[in-house]
Amino acid sequence: MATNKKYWKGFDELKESPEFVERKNNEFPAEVPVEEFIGSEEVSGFNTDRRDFLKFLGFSVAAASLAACEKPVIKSIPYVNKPEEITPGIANWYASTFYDGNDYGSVLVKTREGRPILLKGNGSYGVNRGAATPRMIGSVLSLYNEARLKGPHRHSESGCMPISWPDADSEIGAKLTSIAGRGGKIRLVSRTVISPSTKLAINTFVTKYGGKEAFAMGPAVADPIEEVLGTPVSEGGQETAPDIKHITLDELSYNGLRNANKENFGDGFIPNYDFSKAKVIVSIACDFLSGWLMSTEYIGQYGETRKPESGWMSKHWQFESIMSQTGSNADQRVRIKPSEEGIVAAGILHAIGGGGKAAEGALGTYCELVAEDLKSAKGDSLVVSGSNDVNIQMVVNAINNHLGSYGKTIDRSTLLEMGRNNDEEIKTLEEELSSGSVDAVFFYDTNPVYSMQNGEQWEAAIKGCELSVSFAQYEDETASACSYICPDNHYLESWNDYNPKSGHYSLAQPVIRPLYDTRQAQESLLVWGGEATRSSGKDSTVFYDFLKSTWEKYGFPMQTDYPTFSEFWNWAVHNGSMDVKEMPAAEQQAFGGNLNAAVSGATSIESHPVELIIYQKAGIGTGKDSANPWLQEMPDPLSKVSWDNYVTMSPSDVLAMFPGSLTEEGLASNSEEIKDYSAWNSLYIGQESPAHVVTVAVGDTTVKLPVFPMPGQASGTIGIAMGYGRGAHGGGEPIIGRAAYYTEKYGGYEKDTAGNLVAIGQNAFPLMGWQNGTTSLSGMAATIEPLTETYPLACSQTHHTVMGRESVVRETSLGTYLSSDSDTYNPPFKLSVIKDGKHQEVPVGEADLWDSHSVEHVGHRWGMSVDLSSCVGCGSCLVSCVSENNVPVVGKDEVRRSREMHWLRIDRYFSSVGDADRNAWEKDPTTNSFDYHQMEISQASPSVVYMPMMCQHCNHAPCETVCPVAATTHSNEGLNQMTYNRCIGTRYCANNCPYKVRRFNWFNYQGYKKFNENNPAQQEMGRMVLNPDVVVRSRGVMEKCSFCVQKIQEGKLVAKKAGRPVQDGDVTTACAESCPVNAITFGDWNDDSSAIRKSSESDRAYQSLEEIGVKPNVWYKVKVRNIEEDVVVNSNDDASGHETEHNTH
Amino acid sequence: MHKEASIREPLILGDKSYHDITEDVCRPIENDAPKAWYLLITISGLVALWGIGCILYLLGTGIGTWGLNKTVGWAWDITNFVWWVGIGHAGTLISAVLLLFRQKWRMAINRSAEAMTIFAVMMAAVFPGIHMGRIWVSYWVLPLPNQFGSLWVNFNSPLLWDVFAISTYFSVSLVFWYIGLIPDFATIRDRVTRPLTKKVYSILSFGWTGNAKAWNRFEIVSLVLAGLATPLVFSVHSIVSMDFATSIVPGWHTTIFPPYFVSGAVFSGFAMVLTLLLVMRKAMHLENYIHVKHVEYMNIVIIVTGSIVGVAYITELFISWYSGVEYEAYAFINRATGPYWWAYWSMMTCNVISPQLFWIKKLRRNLAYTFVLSLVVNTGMWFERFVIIVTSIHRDYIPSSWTMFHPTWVDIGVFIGTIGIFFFLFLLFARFFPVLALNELKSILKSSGENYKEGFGYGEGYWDNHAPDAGIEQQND
Repeated sequence: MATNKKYWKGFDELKESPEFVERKNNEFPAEVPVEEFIGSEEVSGFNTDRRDFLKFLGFSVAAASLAACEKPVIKSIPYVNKPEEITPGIANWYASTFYDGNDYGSVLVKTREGRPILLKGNGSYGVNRGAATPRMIGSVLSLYNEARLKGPHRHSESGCMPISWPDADSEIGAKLTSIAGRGGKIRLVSRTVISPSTKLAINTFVTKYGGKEAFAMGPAVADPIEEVLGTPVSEGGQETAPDIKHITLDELSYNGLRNANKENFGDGFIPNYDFSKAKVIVSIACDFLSGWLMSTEYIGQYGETRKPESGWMSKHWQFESIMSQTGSNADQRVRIKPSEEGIVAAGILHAIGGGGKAAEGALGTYCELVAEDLKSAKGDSLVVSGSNDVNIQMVVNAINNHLGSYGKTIDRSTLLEMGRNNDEEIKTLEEELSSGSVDAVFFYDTNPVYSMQNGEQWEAAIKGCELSVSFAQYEDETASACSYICPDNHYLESWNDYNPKSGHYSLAQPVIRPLYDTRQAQESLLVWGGEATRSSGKDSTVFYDFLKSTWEKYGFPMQTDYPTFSEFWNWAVHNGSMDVKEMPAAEQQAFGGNLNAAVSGATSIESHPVELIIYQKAGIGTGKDSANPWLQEMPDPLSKVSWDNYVTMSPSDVLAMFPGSLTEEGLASNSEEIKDYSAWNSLYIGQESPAHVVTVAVGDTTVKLPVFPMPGQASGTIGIAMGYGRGAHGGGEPIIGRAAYYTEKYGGYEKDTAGNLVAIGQNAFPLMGWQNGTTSLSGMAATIEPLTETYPLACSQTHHTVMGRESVVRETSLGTYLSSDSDTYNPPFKLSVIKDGKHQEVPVGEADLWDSHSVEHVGHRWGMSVDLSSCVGCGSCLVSCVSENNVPVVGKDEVRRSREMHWLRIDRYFSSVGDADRNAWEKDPTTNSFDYHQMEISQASPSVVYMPMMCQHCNHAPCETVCPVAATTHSNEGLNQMTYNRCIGTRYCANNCPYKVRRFNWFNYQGYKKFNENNPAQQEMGRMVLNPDVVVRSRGVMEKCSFCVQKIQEGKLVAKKAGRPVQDGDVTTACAESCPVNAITFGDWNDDSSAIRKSSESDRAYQSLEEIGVKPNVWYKVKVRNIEEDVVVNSNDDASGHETEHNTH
Repeated sequence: MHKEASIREPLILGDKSYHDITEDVCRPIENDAPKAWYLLITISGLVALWGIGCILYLLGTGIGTWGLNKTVGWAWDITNFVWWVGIGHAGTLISAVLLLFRQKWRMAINRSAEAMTIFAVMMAAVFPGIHMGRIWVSYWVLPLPNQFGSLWVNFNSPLLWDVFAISTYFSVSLVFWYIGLIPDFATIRDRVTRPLTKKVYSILSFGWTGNAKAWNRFEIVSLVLAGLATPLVFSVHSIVSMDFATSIVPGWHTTIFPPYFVSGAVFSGFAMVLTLLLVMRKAMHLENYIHVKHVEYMNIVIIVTGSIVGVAYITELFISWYSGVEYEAYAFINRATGPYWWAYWSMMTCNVISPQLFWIKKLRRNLAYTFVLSLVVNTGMWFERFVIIVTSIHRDYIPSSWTMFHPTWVDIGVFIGTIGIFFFLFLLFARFFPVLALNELKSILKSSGENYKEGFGYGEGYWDNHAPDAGIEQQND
């Protein structure tokens, strides 16, 4: 039916307004020029048939789908397209290299489903031979630090704003061109670069703007710069030549050592030290096991000399002020003040008859003793000094030269590339910067605003530069002063190569795609240097190509093993490092230099009543990773304090200061042993016994810190660790990472009155000194002021002596070990029993009320042995365990409450003033007595023993019987197992554990607000580091060392797949494989030929607390010291006592 | 028939008739409560609420809100547990053991002592529950058939024995107490007039008729339960002591613990009974039923058990030296001279020295002194458990793990809270339940009542009219 009804969509249409009509007509306005296109002769000339059309169609569809595949936003399990190399559940290991300017080492990175989760030393390749420091192992967590910059930033009036890489490139490029064009000064500041390709990249950059930089990779190339880059490009023939320089700036200066070698040998090198060959090691305040040069290599070498089975052990003398990691392992340790280091060096030189100057008093005696040892091992000795004073280093060189150590323990033909900073050069830069003459400054992997003595001046000067660029990964102290931050990748996201010493090259490869929009610094330099353009963002191969071509050009010709480059390259990446066998012998100049001047310089160092030493802690180092919660929570090996820095002082000095007034020389020289229990007790630092607080002033700089009374510290000296107080400039933001700041008791950050976050500890670098043309980290004249306030320190071990308990720790002297049978130094515990009607003494293992678990000789029986003799207490095992087993981080307040969760701890015991009395009492209880209170007091200069303690997996486990719900049980392989989801949390097992290794989940660490700031598992990114093979434990359950049961399982599966029995070496634990000195052995005890079986049957093997009959599966091996007497050396008459007599009480 | 020396003091003073007893016991139930009662129950109610708040916070946040640490896994929680269990000993001892030994003086005190036992055991039972990391799976300690595969409880664990011991003890004590209450509830039921109250008491009294057969059965059941409860009195604390004795911790691993703990428990239980009764008798005007003679008897028990405890302390010290075991020796040296010396010497003073003063007759018959001493003993016994638990584990085998224990406000809050709940319940009991076993008391009126011993027995007020020349000297107060 027809209708004249009108349907309309709106009033406009109904009314047909002119505007509407207009718009309606223009609904599809753009006329597609189809006619034109088809009509053109060119197109009509094409002969596109059906087949071509289908080809085009097919191509377009394929291209479109490929393009669509380009952008997977979230990669999650299960894979749609599984990468070839990844099998879910199977870890991939990649060889790489760690270098942070301080530690260097070849590492293996464990990745799971593309996430790096664990690091360990590369045992097969590399100079460190599997050694890794806690900082190296912990660095995997820093990858996931959420405070990392997510892209380039520009500082402007409105603050620090993100910009894009193209913008950053064009702006920085433009400024550089303009500065170079007018002949302005450009400075590139970096830490010591030991990477050949990076050097070359820097060259490219420097050359572009008119400079030139030395480069060396292998001996073959005379002048690579010319070869690679051609002659430097001059910028348009301008009259003023641009002034561009690359300057090296490290936190730690080795200038003294390099200068001394320059004086003595004509070249400022650092030679290669070989501690494994040294029968006598004398260290003058040199912490060569932790943080000194190539300590990752030295620690393993040192460990080799500490195994008495070979019939000899190195004799290690240490002269030092603070109790260092190295000093704590010394056979003989003498306390001196930093100002006496030169006197000791000259004294030893004199005593061995090489000139020098005799030391007086007690020090002289010690020098004589040292000289005797040195002379008896002529050539097989090594004297090292940690001083940065050229004179002392020259005297030390003279000692080594006189003893003929060069060519034996010191190799002058292999030179270290590390520690290249030049204090004079930095001084000049500092002056240039502060005078405002520098126009552009770049900071690569260095943080002078934090690490220089006058950081504030640097900050102001950098802000004054026209262009300042930082490559930092964080908005750190220096970066926040720069106008641009072009964040570098984390090293696990980067390609890199290293040449730490002549003849050794290594590669670092990325193990994960960059997490954020960061760019490797080398790529930035190449881009700005005009060498490359950045194209594909995160997947850019600019530096990879550059690096590969460098290796093709220089690396490949250096070897003969591989015929083609691709083969060479693949193996180099696979192995992570390569050694060049034949190094041309460098010309070796004979020993020379003005020794007399050096001796008089070294012996006339001014002494002060209180001398300050700035030292490195094992966990924090120079502070690069001070936002790493694993490292912050790792107790210091000696003080056992975590999450803080503090002033270490000799206990008697602390006593003299609190209470009582402090006079000018108040701290000077009290070496008296504290024997008064109540006085000692007043120094106790525990949960509710906070530390005293002092202010320390060096010149005009003061810091306020708590005091830790440290046995073994020389009187009149104080030690402060570097690496703290970082990130305080961020105001209310955790700018370098969440774990770098103090937190409140119930969660949240502690804030100062201005609302700023408070960085943990105090920065010690402003207290640095300048001495004899080099920076100095020790011997600064300090004044110390006691305050009335107190401060809580978090100590994981509050009792410091072993109370003479020989069944816990056993030690002996090398002489006794070699000359007597094991009953003397390792007597088995006997029980009196009635057998066959007679009274008999039987070994404790034979007297048994229970049926044994049938683990012996049936299937596997996993066991571990720990050699107390070679353990140096470095803490690598602890951090490795944390990383492998998802051990929760609990923060300072919980550590203070003795609730740290570490499955493996390192017990550290000082020898006590009551030890001698107790030994006498043991021999004859009737005539002697001893006082348990005295046993608690550490000696003023104690000997130290480290004892890694983990679950002992007792075969008669006391924890197993008391659990009401059978949540902890014994496996048929000898493991004491913990079934988390059966546990109801009565904690009886923990009470009944004689070793106190069980850890209770007091809170929900993954969710409770108290741990928001420090527990990585509470953060989106931090969670990525968790090991998927190990369950994250819930609140209210008990946990403990499992002997890495997941690794045992993995090893068994590997063997099963290979169709063979489990062999020794298939299975290991995280602690065992991270131990740099191979002190920990793990394996199947039932395997007669296994290393653990042999180790457990050694004369030195004993089981801790054997007499209580719990039958552990862990053996310890008696600590052997290379000392004369069985009695631990009691050096009460230490050197610092000789100065003045001082009465404290 | 019962024989006793003529010089023995009567157990019921005053001029009491059967009716008087009923009146005296029922008066507080039938009359309005005094202001003091309201005041006390408000205070204890508030404290109880505070404690419950602390417990809820603990359960919501984690055991970390307590001051425990990696070395000291138990502290105030188990101290409080053992302390309360110990207190819970006196009631059943008085009602069961003394019943078997025909000690008639128990009748004046057994009802409230048993109530105290029930409440104390309830408080004790709180701690093993809340001290668990995961209380929501606490039922796993019961051997329930389950679908977790072959999972079963671990019968080796003393904690499991605890579960059985405490639950059995609690059930038997509760039944025993309640059976005793039935005739008394019936008496109240018959007296009260308000319908609701009458209804409640008639339900509580289980339809007690009071005929001879019922009484006969009542006596038999009481005896049977007494026979059952008597071994429990000894077993429960023996087993609690095995929580420690079967461990390998120096200072815990001690075979002397079972008898030592039982006597300690009786010791503290009597002290708590004294604390409560000395107040109650005054407040509820029960001086004629609970008088110096009762107090003196209880004080004698305190001397005996206190001395046993003292001997045990000294034995422990001797054995620690005699054993020649280094750790054992150090554990005790550390107790006496280590950082917790103050706890040890508080324990020694409170538990060993001060009760010995009861050898002096004047003191043990002095109510004020007894009251103070009962508080001292209760404090001392709390310290005893604290000393045993904390000082043993805070320094055991490995010196690196030695720590101190510092309680948090939650530790303190929970403990104070349980005291609040205890008193709240006890005040309710005193107001609504017959605080004396009135029907049982009547059974000894003839042999132990003052007037009856004198050969009279005509009820209160009789001699006001009938004996102008021969007054009875009051021997009380």
